[in-house]
Amino acid sequence: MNIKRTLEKSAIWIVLALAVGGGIWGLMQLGAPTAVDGNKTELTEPISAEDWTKGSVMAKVVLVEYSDFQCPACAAYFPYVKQISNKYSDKVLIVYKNYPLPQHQQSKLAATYAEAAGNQGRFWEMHDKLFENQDKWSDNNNAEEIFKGYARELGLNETKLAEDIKSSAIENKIEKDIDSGNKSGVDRTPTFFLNGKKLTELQTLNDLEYYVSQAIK
Amino acid sequence: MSAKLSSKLIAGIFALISFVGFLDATYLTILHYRGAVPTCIIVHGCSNVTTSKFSTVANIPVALLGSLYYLTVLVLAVAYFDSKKEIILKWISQLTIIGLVASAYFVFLQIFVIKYICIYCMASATTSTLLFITGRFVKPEKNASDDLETLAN
Repeated sequence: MNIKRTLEKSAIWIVLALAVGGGIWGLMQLGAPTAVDGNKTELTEPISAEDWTKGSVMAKVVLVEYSDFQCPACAAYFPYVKQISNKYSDKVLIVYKNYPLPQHQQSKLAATYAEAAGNQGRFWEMHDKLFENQDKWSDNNNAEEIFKGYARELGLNETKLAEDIKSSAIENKIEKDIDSGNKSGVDRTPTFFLNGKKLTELQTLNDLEYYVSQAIK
Repeated sequence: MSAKLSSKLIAGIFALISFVGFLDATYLTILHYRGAVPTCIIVHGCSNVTTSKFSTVANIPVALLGSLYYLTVLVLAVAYFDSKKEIILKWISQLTIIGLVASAYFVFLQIFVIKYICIYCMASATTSTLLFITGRFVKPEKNASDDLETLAN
């Protein structure tokens, strides 16, 4: 009787240990990086001369990012993309495309300012400022004043900036980016396409560089 | 007899729900330590919650605290099956109050402060609420003599 009871007691704790251990193991597998699933979704829209690019146009590796300036995940990836750009400047072409999400109230305005800065040859500088300071303007009702401040810091022509902000050309370009993202199955930000294939298995920030370095080899 | 069955059932529900809560919170904890950032998904909130300043307390991710909370409830529920001591169910019942208050606070933060909803956090709020409700079924009038009686058996 005692032996039976002892066995029962032991069994209870063994089941618990197996369930907890197995659960943790399974969850860790879920979070582990795996190979790129290249067959899933492809970038259907080709990159164009209108797109903002950084790196060598001769590069055999092209990394297209659909991003949202107000998305915290995009801000988290920002230094990693920049690091890739610096490290592999002659091997990778980075392409930025706007995909402002509807739940981010300042996102489209931020994209508009980045595009307007781009019209004066300072897209990437504004891009960097927006991501570096995301927490300062993200929930700020006066975000536009902050954006104007960045424009002044970059020495942009304020008259031209004001004209461009109001122009439908920039709005159309952002809409075109969103449309191209939708056609390529973008439903979240950031979404990366490496040589036209969506990186669907990114789990950590470092995974991005891993996949890029694999593509370069 | 029915009281015993009821206690077993309560302990079973505690174990089941806390296991689900444990998996949920542990998943977020693993993502946190791996440095993974859940992407911003169109329309359905995004990583605003899990990357907000409220996601850690003194550098400890709240997901880990949640994970430990559920694990404690789970271990105590199993300890009940092992020892049949009713007092353990009362401990769990009291613990669930802390879980409910913490969850209510995090739901409040999501809705009114961060203004985004994290589905995993809401799942955790659901499991901790269910644990709290289950805790209300634990008989409060049980006294120490019952435990001694159980131990004698």
